[in-house]
Amino acid sequence: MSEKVKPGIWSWVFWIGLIILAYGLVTFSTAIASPEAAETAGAIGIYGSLTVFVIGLIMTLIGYLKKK
Amino acid sequence: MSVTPTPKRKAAIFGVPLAWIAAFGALIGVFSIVPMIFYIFGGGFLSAGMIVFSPLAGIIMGPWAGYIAGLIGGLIGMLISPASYPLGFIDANLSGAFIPLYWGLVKKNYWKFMIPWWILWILVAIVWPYHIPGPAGGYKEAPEPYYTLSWSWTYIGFALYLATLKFLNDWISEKSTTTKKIAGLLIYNFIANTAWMVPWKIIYFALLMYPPETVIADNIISWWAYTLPMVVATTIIAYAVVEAMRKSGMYRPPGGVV
Repeated sequence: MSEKVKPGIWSWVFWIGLIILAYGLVTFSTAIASPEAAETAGAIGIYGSLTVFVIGLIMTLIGYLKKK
Repeated sequence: MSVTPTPKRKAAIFGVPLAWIAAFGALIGVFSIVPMIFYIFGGGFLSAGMIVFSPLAGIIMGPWAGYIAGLIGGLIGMLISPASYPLGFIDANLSGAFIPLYWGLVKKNYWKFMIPWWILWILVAIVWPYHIPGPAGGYKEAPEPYYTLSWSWTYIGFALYLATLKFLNDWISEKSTTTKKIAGLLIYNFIANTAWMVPWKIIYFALLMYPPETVIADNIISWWAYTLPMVVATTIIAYAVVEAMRKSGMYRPPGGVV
């Protein structure tokens, strides 16, 4: 049996960033999908989910580049 | 790679430590206040608890332990976010426990339960309540064949389930290639989503007495309003979590697909 592989900090940044990115992408895209959805989401829901998406994207990119 | 052995001395249900079930239950419950997929017609949302943690509970822990975690999460969510669970205890099952149940049941090992269970719900959705009891029960008669055809996503999901039953688990196993893992998880999540949405929708429609035309419209938009975002998000999240679990050598519950 080979040695246990311990993921480094940048690996965690990448994977967690990917999860945050997925959340932001889905939430933002459904928040702007129709006027009724946008009304439910409100400005906080729309801009908040967009911000989450950007944070996730940055984390994923940094994690991917640094973990190599 | 070595894997952490089964925690024999710790309390476990279906091979899953109670602490995991409680943790997933708490995450599903707490995240029920966080919106994730906004309803296209407005008025509400599917929560991050439902889209992120419920499918993960089924994928990681299997259907039975997942069901318990989902029910705990649904009950917590019902109390702290009543707007997300308008049907109360029924919703704790439909929007809470049923998601991990279905996501766990897609695993090949459970086909003897999954196939009749899925067929049963398809028959229920076609017949009840718009034909039986129909007008006698205060429901408008559903226009056919449009009504039956509007559930097409579940027929396609069921056909895909049968077609991929033999190899889907191999595609998402640790030894598989990245491309196969992602494609396999997309198929896996599509199957789980199209199976779960049948009871989730029809019970809502029946109890809230939606007109059949609204049901047809909601079913048609389900492809891109619910299935597409949920499948994409769940695939990315499940891939990230499952791979991280595999790489870290964490304990793998026997009922799940990790």
